[in-house]
Amino acid sequence: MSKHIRKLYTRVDGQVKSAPKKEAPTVGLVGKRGASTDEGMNPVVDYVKYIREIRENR
Amino acid sequence: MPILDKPDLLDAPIAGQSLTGEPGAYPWEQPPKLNTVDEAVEHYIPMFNEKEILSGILSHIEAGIALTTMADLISKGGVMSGLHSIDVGMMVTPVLVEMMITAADAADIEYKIGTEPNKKDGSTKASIAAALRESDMEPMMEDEPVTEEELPEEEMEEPSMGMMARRGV
Repeated sequence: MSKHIRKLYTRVDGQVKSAPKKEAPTVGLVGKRGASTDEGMNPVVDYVKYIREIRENR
Repeated sequence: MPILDKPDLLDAPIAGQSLTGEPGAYPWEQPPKLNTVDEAVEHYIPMFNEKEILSGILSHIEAGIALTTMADLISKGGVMSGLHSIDVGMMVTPVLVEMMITAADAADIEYKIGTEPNKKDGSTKASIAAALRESDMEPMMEDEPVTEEELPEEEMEEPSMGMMARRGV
């Protein structure tokens, strides 16, 4: 499973780096819960992006 | 590890033995408590604010354990305790890795994600030659022709005379 996790992280990392800058997600822990999720967003990529932005802006 | 190398097959479970137990006896056989990635993240993120857990994580990062390996262990622990399914556990691991990177950066600790290329594969002829020069060893001459006298004589195999041996070929 560790191999799959490495692959997944590499993929998410690539998506985060290639994704255009967007506003913070509006659903989940970092946003308003229960909001519409029909925006084609990937919560994992959004969380990783959000945490990374917080770290870089520290 | 002799135990892992030679498992005692006589003590191993019989095929299908797990199906003879009572269904729902283990936590992972119960319906998961956290059904979405959001819920799992909400469960795991506060974990990084607890001093005891965070110091344990940081000491493991300092010891050189890859972050993906640790995220794998954390998510597997969640599956074993019936918190979430394997799928949700898998999806939450990049978030855990990112949180661990943040914690390691804040504590100024070097970390290894686990996605770095293997250094063993990166050895080139030039690096090997440089290492040999440093150790005062002369590299083997690559272009030196090999004479026939140096070649070991190939032993001729005697034809098999068994019943199944092919004859007259």
